[in-house]
Amino acid sequence: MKVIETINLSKVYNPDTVPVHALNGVNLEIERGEFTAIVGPSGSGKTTLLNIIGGLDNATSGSVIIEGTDIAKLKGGALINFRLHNIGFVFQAYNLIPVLTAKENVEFIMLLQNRPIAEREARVSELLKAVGLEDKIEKRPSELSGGQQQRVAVARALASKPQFVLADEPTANLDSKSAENLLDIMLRLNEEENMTFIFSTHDVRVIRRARRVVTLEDGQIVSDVFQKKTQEIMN
Amino acid sequence: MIGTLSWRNLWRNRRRTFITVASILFAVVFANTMDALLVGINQQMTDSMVGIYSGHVQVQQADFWEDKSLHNTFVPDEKLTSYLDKMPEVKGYSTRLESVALASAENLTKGVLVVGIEPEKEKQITGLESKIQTGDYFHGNPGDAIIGKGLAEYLDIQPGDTLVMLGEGYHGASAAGKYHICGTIRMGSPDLDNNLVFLMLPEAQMFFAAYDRVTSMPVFLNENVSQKAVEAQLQPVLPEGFILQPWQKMMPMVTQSLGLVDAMRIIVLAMLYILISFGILGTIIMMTNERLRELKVLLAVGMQRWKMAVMILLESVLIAIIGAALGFAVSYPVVSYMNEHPITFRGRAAAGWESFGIDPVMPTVVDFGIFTTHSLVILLLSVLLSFYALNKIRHLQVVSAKR
Repeated sequence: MKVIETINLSKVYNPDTVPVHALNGVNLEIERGEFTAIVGPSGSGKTTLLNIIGGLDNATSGSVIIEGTDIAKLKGGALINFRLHNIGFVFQAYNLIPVLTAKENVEFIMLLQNRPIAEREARVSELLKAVGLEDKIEKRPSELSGGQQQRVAVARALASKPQFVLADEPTANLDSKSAENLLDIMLRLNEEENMTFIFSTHDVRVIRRARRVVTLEDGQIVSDVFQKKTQEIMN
Repeated sequence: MIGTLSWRNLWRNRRRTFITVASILFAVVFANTMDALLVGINQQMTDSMVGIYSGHVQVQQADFWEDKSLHNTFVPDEKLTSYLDKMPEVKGYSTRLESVALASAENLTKGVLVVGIEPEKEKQITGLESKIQTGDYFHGNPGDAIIGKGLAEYLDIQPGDTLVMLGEGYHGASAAGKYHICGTIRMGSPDLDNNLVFLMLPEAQMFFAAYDRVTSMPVFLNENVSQKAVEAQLQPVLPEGFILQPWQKMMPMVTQSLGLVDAMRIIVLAMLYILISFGILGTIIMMTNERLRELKVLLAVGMQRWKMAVMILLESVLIAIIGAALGFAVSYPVVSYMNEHPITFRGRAAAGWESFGIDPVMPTVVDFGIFTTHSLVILLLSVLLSFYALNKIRHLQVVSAKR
């Protein structure tokens, strides 16, 4: 079942001065439950593709269909609301709210969705347990390590029960152990909750464990490879 | 959650928050104290000139103001006086007969303003007795006179001495009399202090041969009563040929002085508010710009712009409330103390103030209206200045949130 479909997606920066073609007719379909890595050299268009899929940037031409909705047609508050209910974000620099605890950071998204308190509390406990931070719920980001912060960020991204999670270089700031640990958690969530994950990454650890690897060069898809299931890779 | 976020955001940079709160606190204290002082000066000026002498409004014969002669006197109308007796807004009223005469003692002579008053009424309504400098107030002894302190000094006379007066009475009659000085008085106005002679009303009527007649009926109002409303109430019951003369018209110099103090007050307050505004704006600019990335992330994950605007607005308002509340708490004892222990000028400074007819003391007014007004203005300024942040939020580009 298709979650995301990009049709002939193009993005040109500075069209009137020195045009830079960041994306050039990208056609991509992502099915529910995929664990996909978007890879490629710097400037290949990975971040631009993720930004447009996430509704953070507009395409110059083409369209992005998410669960049947063309997000280019959504504007202002409607687009923000769409992101809130359909897309989870994990950022390279974690970007947790520094004045909120781990629990509050995760709960915050559900508060924006006006979810009832009982549901919020149950979901926060479930997610923080899933990322192995049940004993850190009252800690603020400054009291957590980088790896722990990124795990809270993953829990936050999943809190809204999104259609998919977009992660931009999620392991870039983590040491090897934390990165492996984070990948284990995300793979488990992918398998247990059938959650769709899409990454942009340079990290070979992520690429090695992704089930699908889409390679971009000069704004075009140059390869699209389906790898073996994680368990098979692990074995 | 937005409230919690705003509150916690305030304490992210405690030093900056403390500095901003302190600047608002001192500004509020300064604004409250200065305003209480200037309003106090105005009130003192009004009280000394209006509350003690002219009354808030005077009933006069229509032509008296233009031609202050004894021909424009009147016999008080009973209907009007009984109406005034029943008005709760009216603290009291009295009747006076005023005209000019020549006053002599030994070899010195001076033109004076002779005012016949009802001593008991004036004592109760205006507290005139408290202005006596030397000697006594009227005790009903025929032939007694109280004179201005300046006049007493000029004529070199004191209580117990005799004052001779000559003048023109009602319908051209000769006016002549010999009076016993029972006291000297200080009204706070050099004009009055250098020229005033008080007689009991029947004595003045006899002196001017204006029996039963008066030149004015000053009406004194209770506190917090609208002068205009009372004038509107009285107008229909005035007998034909009579007018109501407000003190603002009778004493234009006082009105101008009050206007001057008010203008000064507005200028100083405006400067103060500009200074406070820059302090608050600086904080808002820093609070917004250092969190732009965070705001972009909030927008990316699905927080509506208006919710962010409420969060930032709440932060500014919270800082303003803390500063204003502390300012209020500090101002109150300061202003109360200055009310009980007013600043008193001495020497040449005192003489300068006295030359304007103002007592050389600066009492403050303890008025919650002043405190509330400045606190509300600060709040309003904070809300207005938050528009900088709101504008930033409005134009936030979410695309750069991930960088």
